[in-house]
Amino acid sequence: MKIDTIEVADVQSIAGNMRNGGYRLVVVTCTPADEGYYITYSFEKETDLRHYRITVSEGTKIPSIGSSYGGAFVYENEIHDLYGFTFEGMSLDFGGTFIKTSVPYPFKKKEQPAPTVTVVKEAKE
Amino acid sequence: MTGRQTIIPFGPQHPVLPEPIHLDLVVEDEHVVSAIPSIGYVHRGLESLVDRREYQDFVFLAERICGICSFTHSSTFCQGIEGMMGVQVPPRATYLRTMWGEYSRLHSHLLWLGLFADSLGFESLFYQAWKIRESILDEMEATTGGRVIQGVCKVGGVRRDVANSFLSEMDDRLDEIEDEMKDLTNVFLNDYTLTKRLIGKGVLSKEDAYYLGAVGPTARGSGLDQDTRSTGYLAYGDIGFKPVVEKGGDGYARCAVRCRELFQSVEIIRRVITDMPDGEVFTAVKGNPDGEYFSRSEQPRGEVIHYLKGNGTKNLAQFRVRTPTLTNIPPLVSILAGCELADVPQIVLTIDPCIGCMER
Repeated sequence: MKIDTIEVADVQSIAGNMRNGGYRLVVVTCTPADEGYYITYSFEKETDLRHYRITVSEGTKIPSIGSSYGGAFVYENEIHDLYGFTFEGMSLDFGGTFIKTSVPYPFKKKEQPAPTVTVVKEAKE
Repeated sequence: MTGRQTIIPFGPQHPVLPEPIHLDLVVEDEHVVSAIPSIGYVHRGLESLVDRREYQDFVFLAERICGICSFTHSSTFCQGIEGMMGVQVPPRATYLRTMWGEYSRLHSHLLWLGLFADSLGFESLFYQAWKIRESILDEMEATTGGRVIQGVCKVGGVRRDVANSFLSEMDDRLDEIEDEMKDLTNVFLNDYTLTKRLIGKGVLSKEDAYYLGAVGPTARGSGLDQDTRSTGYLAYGDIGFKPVVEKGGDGYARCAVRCRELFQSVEIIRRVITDMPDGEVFTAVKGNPDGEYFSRSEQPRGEVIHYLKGNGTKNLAQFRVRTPTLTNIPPLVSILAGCELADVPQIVLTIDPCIGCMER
């Protein structure tokens, strides 16, 4: 699995080149890594699958590829809601309500893993 | 047009939807101007469980992502681990996986045909489709022990073999199933009322289908020759594969793709049974996965992706699933804009949404 590493500033131009080259957007994947997070963009044209990866730290603002691929909003909103990254210029921005979670950004890296059982406190009368 | 717009909430609970998806329909008179989707009602956060379940055990969890394409999820997950670890799966196991994958496609498409008939009030047709599906589930149960959740796939191969004599009997029964499916699909493709609700409804152009990320019958119904089975994974490379494509781009074309794929699946199963190699169905797997793998398969609803990242321990570091319904949401939003309000339920159904799968 070959992955090309790119800079955050190059995301939109790479997506534009892929679109002009006739590639479809397959998926955008966010992965926690030692040095922050990887966000991997995967494109395909006639079984030629290409992956481009940026490495980002928490709080980084990432340019949206929505101008090239209108369907990217599902991946970008999902990554925002699960990991907390902001994508600038999304074609459809749900403002954090695309996936409704009981805790904010549940897939964000934590010191300790999330508990498997949620303790519900009794309501005060 | 009056120029006065109203927002009508569609779902998450709706008679035509077995699972919850919410759409805010912006309506002007009787026409939908735009549709805004909202998901997350049944999100389980299942991907985050990889750090609490060993990779061999996670096959069972991956299988439970969806109750319809359960087998394909387990085989895609196993395929990813095997690819990462360089495990050579015995040919008989890949043929058996192909066979069960196609039986899953048959039962999924028949389920959809039944649900679609039910949504239009065709109760008898609904029962007829599900009666044939019952024969498929019987075959699954006889060969794996499970009707919906099979639990037969494991990293390195499959848990059960099927005797060659039983495979021959299955081959004979396919003739009967095929005859029943001919009668059934004839109604869907030629009945006046059904075609009236499908032809020209929810049109998705070839270009929009491609660049909005449509997959599966939604893409192929718009003329795209796009099917992951063409990459030749499992036994598809040996068998040779050509996708079913329709050019209409409307609901009828998507329905026709599914109808034609039923017969294609029967043909694939026949070829698998005829060419089934002898030998073991499992290879012992040692060690732990390390590295990354991008595993792809063609589910009944389209391309599914399991992205796996191992770190050399028994637990994976990352698991990410991109299901066909998630990527078919932008095309759905596109085709709903401009349609008539009364056609919304049928148009939503034509992408065959699987919300449990999408939410994972």
